[in-house]
Amino acid sequence: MRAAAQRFRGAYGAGPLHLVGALACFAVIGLAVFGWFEEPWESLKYILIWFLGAVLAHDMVLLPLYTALDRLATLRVPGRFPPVARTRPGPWVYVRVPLILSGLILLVFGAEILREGNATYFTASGQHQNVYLGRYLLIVACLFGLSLLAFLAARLRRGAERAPAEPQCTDPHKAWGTQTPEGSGGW
Amino acid sequence: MKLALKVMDPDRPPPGPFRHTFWRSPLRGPWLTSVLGAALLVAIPLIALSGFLSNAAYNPRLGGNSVGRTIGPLDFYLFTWPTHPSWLYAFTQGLHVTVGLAVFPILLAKLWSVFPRLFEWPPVRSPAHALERLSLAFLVGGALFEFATGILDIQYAYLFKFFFTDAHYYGAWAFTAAFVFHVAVKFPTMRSALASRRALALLMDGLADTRPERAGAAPSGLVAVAPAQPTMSRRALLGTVAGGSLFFAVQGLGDSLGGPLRALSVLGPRDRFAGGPNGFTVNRTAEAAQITREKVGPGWTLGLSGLGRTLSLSREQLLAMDQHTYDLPIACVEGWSTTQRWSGVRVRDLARRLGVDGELTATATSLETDGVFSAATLAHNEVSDDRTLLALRVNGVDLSLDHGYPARIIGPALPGVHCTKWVARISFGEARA
Repeated sequence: MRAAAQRFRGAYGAGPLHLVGALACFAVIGLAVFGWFEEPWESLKYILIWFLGAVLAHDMVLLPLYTALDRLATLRVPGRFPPVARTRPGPWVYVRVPLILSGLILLVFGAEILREGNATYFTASGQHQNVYLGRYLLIVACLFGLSLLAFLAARLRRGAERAPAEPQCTDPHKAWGTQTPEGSGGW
Repeated sequence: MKLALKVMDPDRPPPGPFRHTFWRSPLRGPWLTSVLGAALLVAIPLIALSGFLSNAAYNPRLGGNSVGRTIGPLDFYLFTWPTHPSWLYAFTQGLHVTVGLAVFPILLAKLWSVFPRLFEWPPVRSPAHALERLSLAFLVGGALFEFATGILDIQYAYLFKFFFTDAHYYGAWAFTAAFVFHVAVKFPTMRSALASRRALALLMDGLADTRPERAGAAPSGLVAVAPAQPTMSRRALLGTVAGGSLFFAVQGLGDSLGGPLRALSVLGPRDRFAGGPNGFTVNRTAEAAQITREKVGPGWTLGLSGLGRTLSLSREQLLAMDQHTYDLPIACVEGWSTTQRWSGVRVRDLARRLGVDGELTATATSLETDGVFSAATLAHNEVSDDRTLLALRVNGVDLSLDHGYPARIIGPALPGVHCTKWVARISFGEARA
């Protein structure tokens, strides 16, 4: 019995329960997809396009975009500036956080901000979606404003701490201890 | 076969994202993924459950309530949607949309945290691994499809050219099935990543102390082997995600709970109420439904029919019947709701007036001719409930044309689109036991 279980595991790559779970999962997925196939072809076509499109847009556009922006932010500018100035991570978080939040809000409420649903929204509510762009820009301004205040506050505090002592180490490699050199891999 | 083996050599991944050295974020690791996963493990079942309850609230098996969808093997209903408490649908649907919005940043962060796994090498190690990866296609695709369609729907942006309800419903089944399987497979991994003694200590690390997670006993493929310097700490990342979640939760809550919170919902799609007794938000204007003053003038009558009887009542005759007043929420599938004071005739009294009795369903049909929800069938428990009204007035005044003058259905825990406006006729039928 145990030998049979071992053989199964060897051939399949996991225990029998895994297979049972997988089959149950695909049975329900099959019924769900079958439900979609009851739609007229015109609808079904767009359902499939949106299903695949959502994955592609996320995995092939959105995620590489994060990575590319991230690389850009931590890029060294050779020559004129000491590399320290652009690799020191401190200030970047004050750009990164409001940028992430602004992007996130635009991603979620972009449709109404850009008035994509305006016609349908008007037939539903008798109102227009024209107020949201202004509100969004205000939110973005608040986010970056708050971030700037936080940055200035942190700087003042650091300045106050540092005043009596000698300047601290600004070499990132020393400051970050055992980090491996950058340039490994690449986008 | 030999060539395939050579190409798939586990020790020689193709260049680019298939190589471990490509991934540099020092924040990725089993701990971070597990924290985000644990949050999703709480939230996704809430969204799924409230979503399936929303479908149940429509009583899809009654009349035309499924709006053309064929009732299939996935449509099993354990109970008739209750009418108590009256805010039940406002609650489940407010929960669905609010938690759905709030979870979106967590979902994106979770997907970012496991991105390297998309480029696992070799892509398939065993039949079990192949099935798991196939289910992940439905997990990620299903999640993104459900969130994208839901988020666009609440903003009325029907950029997708299919009927939202059906697509979202079946998408939910595919996503839920893949989610359950994924949790079953990954739960032990999550538990062991969160069980270590240093689990919470990672949150204490400021930027200066942020290091890649220690690789555990089992290689996760998530911890960067050649990490870049951190530009934010883990708590800054999780704080940003939490901040985004909180912002979206407030948008959803404001539209759902209303009152002073509605003012905070600056981007919530339904935050602007006009003044006056009829100033609360409308979900389909009379103009859009092509309802004119002439159609609802003195010539309007309500047609009643059922079990072989028919009757026609003018608005004066309806106003001469016993009037009842209840505070009931009108709750939309899009998550917003608002409680108003409705007055009118009990639907039950209309059945009695017609001379029909017993366990009855009631199908209210609107004057509007081309709306998707121009007719809706109420279940027997809704019909027999004291608070289910054919409302003639709201907040002490006649209904406005946009709110369904001369008469509309309103009832406890009823989905908004089943509160048929501009009612032309109500037909009663025997409820099947």
